[in-house]
Amino acid sequence: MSGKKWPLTLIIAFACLGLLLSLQFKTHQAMADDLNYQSNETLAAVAKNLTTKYYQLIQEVWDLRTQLKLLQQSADQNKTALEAMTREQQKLNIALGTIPVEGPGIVITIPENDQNYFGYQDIVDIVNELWNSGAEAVSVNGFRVTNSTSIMPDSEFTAVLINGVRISYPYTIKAIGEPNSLDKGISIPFGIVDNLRTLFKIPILIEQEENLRLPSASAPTFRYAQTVVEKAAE
Amino acid sequence: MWLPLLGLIIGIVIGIQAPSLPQAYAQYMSVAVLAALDSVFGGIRAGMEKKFDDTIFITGFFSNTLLAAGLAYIGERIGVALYTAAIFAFGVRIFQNLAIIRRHILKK
Repeated sequence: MSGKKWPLTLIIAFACLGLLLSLQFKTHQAMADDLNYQSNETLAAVAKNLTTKYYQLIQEVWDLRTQLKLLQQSADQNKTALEAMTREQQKLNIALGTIPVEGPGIVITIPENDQNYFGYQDIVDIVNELWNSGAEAVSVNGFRVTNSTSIMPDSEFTAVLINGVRISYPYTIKAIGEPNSLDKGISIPFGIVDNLRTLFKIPILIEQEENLRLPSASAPTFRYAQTVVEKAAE
Repeated sequence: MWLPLLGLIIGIVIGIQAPSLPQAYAQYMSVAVLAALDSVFGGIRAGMEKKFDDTIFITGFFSNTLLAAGLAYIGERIGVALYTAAIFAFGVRIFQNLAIIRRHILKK
């Protein structure tokens, strides 16, 4: 056989056989993938598998939906808590004077005068009177009055120092609050402003304003003061 | 010895490249494949017996293949499973040829 020369016809026949074989192989492969040519048993098994999977997926969808709902609820709760915290923080910031505030209020102006009487104590009294009348924020000549603001005389008692900074005429005291009640409270008969006007002839001006803007003070730093942690009763 | 194998490989490659046939023809194709296989084994056997004849072989190859496919088609049309007859006949002949080829190889 080895020495024999193979005729061309056999080669052609082999090529045809190869062609037929591979074509048939391909067609059969396609049939194996086509549901139309599957046996009923196979189809039933496939259908069963798919049904099981379908229900599993439905279950999964429900689980995920429940999870989503839970997550949304907790997110909502977080959001509410955050809003409450933000409001609280804003309130505290206003109280501390660390943020600028605006709103209606009154402006008290003490212009330069020749009475030479008006002093730091009068500013303190006016500020106290304003707090007493319901002021929510007060500033003196652009200094926001907070719980660490100092209002003092200088060493010769001729000028006023706020936080150690010398201020001079005209003194402008701004207060945010309900303008009418502030006005009434500050100019009450025999009150501080009334006394200054009538007894000492200080030309104090009081104006109600629709929109006042008060600057912020620097935030307090606590290096020594610490919160006391109450020990549990033993 | 290798040239027919080369032909076989070339045929397979062409078949893989060609677009696949409609699946309705798969049944006829299978019978045709069987007939072609039978013819090829018959040819090898004839070659070993030094009785190989080009014309007889190539006509036998194509007529057997086409006849098998045609038979399967007609069987399908008239509701007789003729292709099983073709499968049976060709199967038996393939095994007979294989046995004879084996003997020839072993005798050497």
